[in-house]
Amino acid sequence: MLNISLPNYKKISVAEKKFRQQNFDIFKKNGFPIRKDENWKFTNIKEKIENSFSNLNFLQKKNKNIREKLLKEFKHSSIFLQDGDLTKINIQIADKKKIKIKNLKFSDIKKQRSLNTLGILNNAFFSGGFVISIKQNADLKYPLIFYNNFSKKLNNCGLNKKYIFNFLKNSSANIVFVNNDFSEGNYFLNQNSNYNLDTNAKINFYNIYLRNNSINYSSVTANINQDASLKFINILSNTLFLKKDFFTNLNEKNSNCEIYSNAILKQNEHFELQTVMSHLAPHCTSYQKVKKVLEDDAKGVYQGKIYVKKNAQKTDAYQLSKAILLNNETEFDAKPELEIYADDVKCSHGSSSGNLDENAIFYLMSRGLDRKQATNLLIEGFFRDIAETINHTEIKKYLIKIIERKANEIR
Amino acid sequence: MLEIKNLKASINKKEILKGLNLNIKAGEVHAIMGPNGSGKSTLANVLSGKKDYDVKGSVIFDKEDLLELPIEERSRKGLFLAFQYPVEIPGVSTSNFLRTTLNSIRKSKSQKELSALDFLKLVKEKSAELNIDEKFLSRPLNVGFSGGEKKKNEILQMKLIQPKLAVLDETDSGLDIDALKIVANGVNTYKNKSNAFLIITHYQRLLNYIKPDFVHVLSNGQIIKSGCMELAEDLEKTGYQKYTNA
Repeated sequence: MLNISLPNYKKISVAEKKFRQQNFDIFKKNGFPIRKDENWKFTNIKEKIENSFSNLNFLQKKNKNIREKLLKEFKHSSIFLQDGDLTKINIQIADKKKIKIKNLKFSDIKKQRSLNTLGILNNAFFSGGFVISIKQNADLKYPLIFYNNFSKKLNNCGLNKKYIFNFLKNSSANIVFVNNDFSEGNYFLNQNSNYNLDTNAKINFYNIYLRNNSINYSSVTANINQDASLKFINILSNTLFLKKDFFTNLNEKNSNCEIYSNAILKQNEHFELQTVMSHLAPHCTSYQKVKKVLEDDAKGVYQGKIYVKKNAQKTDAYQLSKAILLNNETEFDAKPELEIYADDVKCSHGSSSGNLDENAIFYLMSRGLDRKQATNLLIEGFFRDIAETINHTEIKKYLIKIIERKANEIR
Repeated sequence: MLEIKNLKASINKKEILKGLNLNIKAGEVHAIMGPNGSGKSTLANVLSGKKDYDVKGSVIFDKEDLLELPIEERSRKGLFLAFQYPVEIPGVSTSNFLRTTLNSIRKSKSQKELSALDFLKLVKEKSAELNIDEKFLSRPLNVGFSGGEKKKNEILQMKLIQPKLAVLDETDSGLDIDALKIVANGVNTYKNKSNAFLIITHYQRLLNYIKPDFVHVLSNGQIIKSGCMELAEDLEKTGYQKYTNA
């Protein structure tokens, strides 16, 4: 039986102590989410955690062995995170005055509406994170890469992190978040991110999971104001157990959010993506394209909800989910949902899952490719359209390289 | 080069090829004509190794038992099938596909893989011969191609891969007269003493441009008559009925 208690935090304010205690009390009462909860129907995190840990250590030790290996493919600014904390920042001179980044303090935490119980847990136990601001009218010349690395020994750790991204008025940037886990696994990672896009901010966010050995819950809340636009591209493989929730609030008119996700899951990996796209103002657009390739005993889930408030007329929203199941043991669940209260909107969704097209495989094999080569080429093709939406040439090249490499890992 | 003896093939327990015999030597062009449902496409599929069929009999290709070889080995050994309906593959660019297949075949012959530059040079040269626009190479394979573009793409692949035996399965269907001439010209310029063609068609039309040495009539899973070009001309005039009723 897993027993969780609040550590004796030192050197914190009375307010923070109270905040942690209040959240802890709520969590104590509710516990980990159970499958009766509609949002957790397909991801049994309670069972996973209880089977994996007999105790969880929420007090984080300072990490040694910091990795600082840079991508050589293109010029960029870099920010290194080790086990979720800032270790090294190197911004290109041209962009130095446009970016402000600091460690997260208690005073940075704003009250969030409708937090789920893992958000509450995060409030009680958070052990750092960061706040980054891209200043007003700043157009980042170079991509900004976050190297989110994890150390070797994290056994029985519970890491609760908060990341806040503020993109101020008229700012634009390419953010690349590269998650790379060097650990032996067996730890719990609970991440809570906020993307705040002020008027006319134009942000491309590339989130790449090269390896993730943790039991991971990651929630993102994006608040998008007038004329602002967020394009979020998720590329994932070698991820043991992840539920990623993406809550988007299109708060003001003409705002836009696009979410693309490519995932390859194998062995007994588990990945759920949930998107909740809330259209809260008129003339907003949203688009989600979610693709998965599953093999072995892997399980993939996509829950996608589009909510349109009564005044959000002229909403244009579309959602598409596609999965390729390479054998019979894999499982894919999709739950699309539309909740519409306005009467002049364009909303639709589509979902498909199935095997690879045998006619296509035969065609490729009749041209001298063996079955593996044919499969890999088809999977590359399946994922390719997401890369085609990227405007930044070098990032596009880098992501295509990753996609090709991942597609070739499939047996 | 190809020796087919008593070839039988059935799908879902329904026999389609019922003991087919055919010999093709290097340097020859054979045409197989026949009505719908006579087994023409089944023959093409069985030769290239499509799995859906239960196959009996023997096919020797270049001294090897073809039926024992997996699909990709047949291709690597020099058998090429130009598809009646080339498959559309989204996301895979035509040039990426061409380069992957070409290099895979070269590798199997222990030849050096082509560099991106050499490949581009080669493919530009061959596509110019077929009047293929270069832009077409960056489009996803066969996706949104017209009937003519798909068939030209098949012939382009043939010219790049350089097979010993090319089986053209109704390559003339869906072609206008200009495309037909281009495709036929592609075949004629590739034809030589050491390769061979098996042309499967409904109509004599294509055979006006690619002259066959032999014409066979396929009916009800067997070759019921063989002859030369006159046979094709006769078929065009009188139809298949007098042969299928015989």
